[in-house]
Amino acid sequence: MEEIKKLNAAVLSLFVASVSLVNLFVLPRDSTLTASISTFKIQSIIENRLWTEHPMQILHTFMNRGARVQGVGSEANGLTFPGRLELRYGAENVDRLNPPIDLRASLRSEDRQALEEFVLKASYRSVLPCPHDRDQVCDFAVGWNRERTRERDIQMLVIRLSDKLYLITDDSIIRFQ
Amino acid sequence: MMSTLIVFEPTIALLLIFVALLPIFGKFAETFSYTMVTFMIFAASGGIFSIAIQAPVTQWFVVTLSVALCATTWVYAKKSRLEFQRNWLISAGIFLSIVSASQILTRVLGLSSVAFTDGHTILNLALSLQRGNLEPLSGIQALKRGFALPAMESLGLEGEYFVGLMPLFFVAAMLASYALLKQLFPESKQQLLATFMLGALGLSTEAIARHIYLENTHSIAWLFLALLLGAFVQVSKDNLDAPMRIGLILVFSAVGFTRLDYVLFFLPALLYFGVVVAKQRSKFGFALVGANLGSLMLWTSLAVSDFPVFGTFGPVLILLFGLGIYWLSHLFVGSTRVSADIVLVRLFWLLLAVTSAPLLVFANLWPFLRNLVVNLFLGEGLWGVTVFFLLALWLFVGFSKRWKTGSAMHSQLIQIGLLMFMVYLNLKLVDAFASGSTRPGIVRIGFGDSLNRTLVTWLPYAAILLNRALDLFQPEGAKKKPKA
Repeated sequence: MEEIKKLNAAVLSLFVASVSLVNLFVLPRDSTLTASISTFKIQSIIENRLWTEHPMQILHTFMNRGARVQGVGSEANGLTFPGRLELRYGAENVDRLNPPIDLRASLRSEDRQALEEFVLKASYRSVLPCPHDRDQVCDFAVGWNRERTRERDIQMLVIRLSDKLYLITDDSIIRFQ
Repeated sequence: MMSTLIVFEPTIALLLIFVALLPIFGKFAETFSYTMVTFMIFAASGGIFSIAIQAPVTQWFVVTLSVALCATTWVYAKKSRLEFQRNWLISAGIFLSIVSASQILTRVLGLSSVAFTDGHTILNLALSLQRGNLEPLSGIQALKRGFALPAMESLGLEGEYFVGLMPLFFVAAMLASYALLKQLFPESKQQLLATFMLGALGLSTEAIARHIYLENTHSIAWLFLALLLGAFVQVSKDNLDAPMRIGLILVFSAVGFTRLDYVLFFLPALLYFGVVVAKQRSKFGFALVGANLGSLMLWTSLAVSDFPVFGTFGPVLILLFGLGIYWLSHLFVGSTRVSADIVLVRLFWLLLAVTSAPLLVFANLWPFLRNLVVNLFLGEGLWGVTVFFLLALWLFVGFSKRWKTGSAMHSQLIQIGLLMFMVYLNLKLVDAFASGSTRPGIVRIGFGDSLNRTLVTWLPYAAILLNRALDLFQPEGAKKKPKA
């Protein structure tokens, strides 16, 4: 009798342990919290958007179905979550052919400054493996024209702003001629 | 150095509340949980007092109330010749260590919430309270984000929120789930094992673990529900003792202080308590309704402008309406010969029909189901494989003959959870209509969807399921009867 109960407890514990291990180490995670925050001052946290969040969760919250994402790239040179983008926006709306648009050399210094300010003050940030080198980590920012939140048919672009900074933004923030 | 790692005033207030409640609740888990609930009430009352006198005095108000509570309880304990127990000192030491560790670790490691705009709103309200910008806030936003959490967060160091507060609510919710299992099941080792399993699932499932720091009221709702279900088990056993009555008043009062929609969200629990206690302790039923709607009235009258129903008189009218409804139902339940169990079965089906109808008529069910599946099973809600596992376990336990040994009380526990779920979906429907949607799908894809976040509220049911699964192969005759 006692043995049956112990066996039952052991089997269930094994299942729970397996589920926990799969959750922790097998499935992709979007980060549980913001780590190493520099200050707990409320104004700083809000003004400088110090809380981090995975780009996919930001897109889920603010971009409706029907959005198109350009510059997602392939497994070798692109974002680490193209499958999730396809699940959300449809494969036809996710550009996996072209890697993130590299603007490092083509931006004027005042444009770069304006975009860096935009990243700091108006976008949500996170740290993810770099598209150009998966062994390194890069800062990823998601920022857009707030008037276009949840707009249907919005065009999002993935761009590389500096060696370790990528921005996912909409085509009213950056336009190509 | 220490003074910047730990916020002295709220820490001492928490310790004093814990010490005051220890002689009442006795056990560590229950005392910890009710301490957090009482702290909420004190902080919210302090916030209201600050608004009333137009000066930021929440911190000192909380400390003063805590000292008064501690003194009152201990004078009462001395008069009642309650013997001092040495393990109370140990419990208080452990509690203080947890409260301090939460603040120190959070600060040293720089841990905080994931990005979330609702959290920004809560922190902005906290900062306003802390700085003494105490103008009433405009209706809907203030009502949705509530009052108690911003009031507690305003107790941090100057310009900061109360660092390390949210993990304390997570711990309290876990302990309240453990206390619930103790009420339900006789085997102490099993309760502990089931709680550890819930802890392992909770820490490994991102959707749950995010609530350790997420700046929102979901882990607080989990705490409320675990405490309410524990109390309901005791009410059903017909032995609602004085500590549990105090606990219930505290929880319903804290619910009222938390958010306007939480009053509706927890209404099924209040109704079930109302029916059960109507025959035994009718005055206590009035006290529950009064605590719940009275605290709501207090903060919505002073802290919110443009109350959406009946304007300035809305909060008072809601209180009077609630008491009137309770009086009528008390008359009905008190006079009828039908047992409370049968009244509850009829009430359940009635409420299920009432809450299902708007969803069936107005909600767009296809996106609702599709998005729910994407969130729970395809990873976007960050549930990993936990929901798969719990669903499989539920089916496994459900198909075993043990499932049928559940009493009316077990069914009522499930009914409360189900009705809360239905009420929640209706609240989402109203919210969607208010935002201009014509045929809302209610659920969005992603962790940030409010149903996806709110699901942690029902974690006490996962604890019950785990404990029941541990009980699965125990022969019927070997089951001990729960303590009365």
